[in-house]
Amino acid sequence: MVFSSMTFLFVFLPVVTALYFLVPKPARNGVLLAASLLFYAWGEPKFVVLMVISVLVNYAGGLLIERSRASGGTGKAALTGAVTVDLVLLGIFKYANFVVDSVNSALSSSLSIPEIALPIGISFYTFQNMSYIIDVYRGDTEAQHDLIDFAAYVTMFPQLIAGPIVRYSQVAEELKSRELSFDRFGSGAQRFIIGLGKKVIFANQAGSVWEQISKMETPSASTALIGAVFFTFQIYFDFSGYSDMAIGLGKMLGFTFPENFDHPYTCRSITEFWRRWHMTLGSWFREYVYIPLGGSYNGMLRQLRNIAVVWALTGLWHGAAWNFVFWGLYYGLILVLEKVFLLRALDRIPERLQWLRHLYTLPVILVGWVLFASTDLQSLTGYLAALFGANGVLDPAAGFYLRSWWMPMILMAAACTELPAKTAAAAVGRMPEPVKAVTVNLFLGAVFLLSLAFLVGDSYNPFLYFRF
Amino acid sequence: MNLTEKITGVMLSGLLIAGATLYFLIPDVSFSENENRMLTQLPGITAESAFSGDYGRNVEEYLADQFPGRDGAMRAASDARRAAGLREVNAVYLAGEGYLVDRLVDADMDPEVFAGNLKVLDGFAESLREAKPGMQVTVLPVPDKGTVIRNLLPEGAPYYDGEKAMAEVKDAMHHGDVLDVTDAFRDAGSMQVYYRTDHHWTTYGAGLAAELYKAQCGAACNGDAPAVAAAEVPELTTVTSEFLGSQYSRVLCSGIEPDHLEIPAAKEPADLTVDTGTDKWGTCYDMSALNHRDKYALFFGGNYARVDIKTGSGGPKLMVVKDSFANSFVPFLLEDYGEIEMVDLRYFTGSLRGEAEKFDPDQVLVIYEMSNLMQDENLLKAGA
Repeated sequence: MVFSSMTFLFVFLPVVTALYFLVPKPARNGVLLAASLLFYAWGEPKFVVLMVISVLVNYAGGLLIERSRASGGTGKAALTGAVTVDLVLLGIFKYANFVVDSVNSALSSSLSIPEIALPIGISFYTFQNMSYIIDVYRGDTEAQHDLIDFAAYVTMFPQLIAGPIVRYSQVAEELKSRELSFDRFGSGAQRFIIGLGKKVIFANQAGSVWEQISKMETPSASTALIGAVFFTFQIYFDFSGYSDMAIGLGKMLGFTFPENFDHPYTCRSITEFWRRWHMTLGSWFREYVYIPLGGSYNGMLRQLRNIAVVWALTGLWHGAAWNFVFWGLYYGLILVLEKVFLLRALDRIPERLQWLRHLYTLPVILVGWVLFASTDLQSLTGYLAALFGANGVLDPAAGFYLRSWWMPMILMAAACTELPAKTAAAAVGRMPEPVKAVTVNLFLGAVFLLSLAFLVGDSYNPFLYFRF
Repeated sequence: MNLTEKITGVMLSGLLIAGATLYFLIPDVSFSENENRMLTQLPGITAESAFSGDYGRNVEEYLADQFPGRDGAMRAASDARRAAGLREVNAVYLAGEGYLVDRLVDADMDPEVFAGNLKVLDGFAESLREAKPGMQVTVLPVPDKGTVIRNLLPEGAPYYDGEKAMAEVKDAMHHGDVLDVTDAFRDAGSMQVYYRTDHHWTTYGAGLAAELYKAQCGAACNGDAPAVAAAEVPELTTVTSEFLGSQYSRVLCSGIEPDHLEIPAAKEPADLTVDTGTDKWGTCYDMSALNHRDKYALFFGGNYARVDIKTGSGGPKLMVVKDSFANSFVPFLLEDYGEIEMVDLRYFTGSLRGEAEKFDPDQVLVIYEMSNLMQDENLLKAGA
């Protein structure tokens, strides 16, 4: 099930929320778990089994580590076992077809395995499971004895299929007892509505332009640029909108999820971009791969190797296709360059010329998304060629798209910055509480109703991050 | 006290509960007049549909189709898009002079289907002429609205190259004639050849094409349509000024002028019989269609696998292989033919040649909207 669907909004959410608040406290995690399993099973019934297996393995792993500790052991065997199962399941269901295809085309062999469909959200819940078992092993958190609480953590429907990636230790306390209040519920609702609007009003519309332009045979450089700009908008509003909805829903139910996006397109270096984009994935890799590998200690060479490993993995995490590997390595390379000299050079730019840094970061991000956007290498090279002028610089279509879309473009660009939120906060901050309440809620109500209107009439409503 | 947050919480809960309640209270609708399609009904659940995930998808489709105030919501979304300055809504261009034009681009077309269709048509023409040497076989690819009123499209709006497609038809047809009405349509001046809110040609446009066809049958030429002055289109009479067509249904903005719908003013032949396979009428017009949204169905009440028209005169027999464009065209031919059979391959499941052998026509005319010829696979099936 997805958040931006009628089934979720008008059936699932009202029923589940009502039940959740009505049942006695100890039963809430049970309601949450049952609701989450139903939420997952709605679109992918057969893969629920896989998720349940994954939950049971890591739950048992945590208990085994604890028992081994109690009898003087390290628990390493249990950790290794659980992590191996996690990685093997992820490997089979996400990467097996890709590996076989790649081997076949490299060796001209003809190995064949059945086509394996990607279970939705497997990359997300596998990473959550791993964070738990590793944290237990490192003694950063206690093993969870209550299966329902643990399963509720892994499968929690707000963040189940597209993040944020919540580490167990971040919600361990709230799983036991959490504050439910009217204010928190309302504040979560605000966040949810904003996220829904980002997704339905911005991302879907931006995506429709990208879809048109990406299907053109010979777009000019300007048209290709407009297309890439809209994909850049689409992926940000899609993913950050989803995160907003997840964080908002979490808050309504009493959970505090970590932030996932912090205006990434306003970054002044690519290093900074990755501190602002999909923050929970970045910190997962930092915590469980980069630092264990030695991080930035042990000399420059070791650090560069660690960056390369993390970025190849980050690329692959996003999808089992070569373009994601290129995309990961592309960022790995740029981050290495920044580490070696670029960042120092950028930092020498005087304060009043800081905008120059965006002339570097934005094109890098844009080209990155073009790499990301097409899993088919032929259309990828075709689009890159078009972007760099293979079909000429200008065509009438570019003028059409600019004339038709300039207003949404400005709105979306503004919405990528802190400006709207800051301006709005300043404006309503001066209002007396009742006036503020009316103004803010009129706006939110309008966003919600407009989102519904777009949802009803639109067939175009994909979630980009469901592929991962 | 956080009044703002509290109110948001109440508002969102209220909206969701109100929505859920309205779903329950408002009876399900089976047909959308506006979109001219059946709406999804509450699906039943089976073990199979539950496990494949189909049940979940069907429920979502059902809820989207039965959304309380669906038309109003779609209208609001369109108005928002127009307010944001978009020149295109749901793949329809908002063109000049109030015209709505389908966005048809190269990516929509299937070159293989197009080439295959042309091959089928050429082979069909060849076999007809083998059986009856010198037989008049004509292909009339109706130019898409955007090809004719290109200059009214938003500047630079992507649109497929209709001229190039026409040249391909002419190249591929070795055995039949091709009637290209593009230039005559462009020269029609102030006369409206296409509806503003629908993709079809107006009755005037159809009449102009019919006159060109009749002129061509006398002078078997290839491609170059003889000039027919506008005055030669028979007189028309308006039957409704409230026609909002298929493109309007997709755009649904406020402030769009409805079209006029006309029929030839001349009386139909007294002995006319129209047999649609399900009904027998004495006229080409189903006036009850004027009470519904899809008023173009005025012509023959819509589309059928086969329609057999006998005019009562002893004129020649004409077979029309067609899409819906022929429906407003054929009434202009009643005076000139004794019997006309319309075959619509979207509904007809037999073979073209078999049907031609059975009907034994003196002339064959193929009327297809160009973009349809470039996408529709039914010709391939019927020609196989």
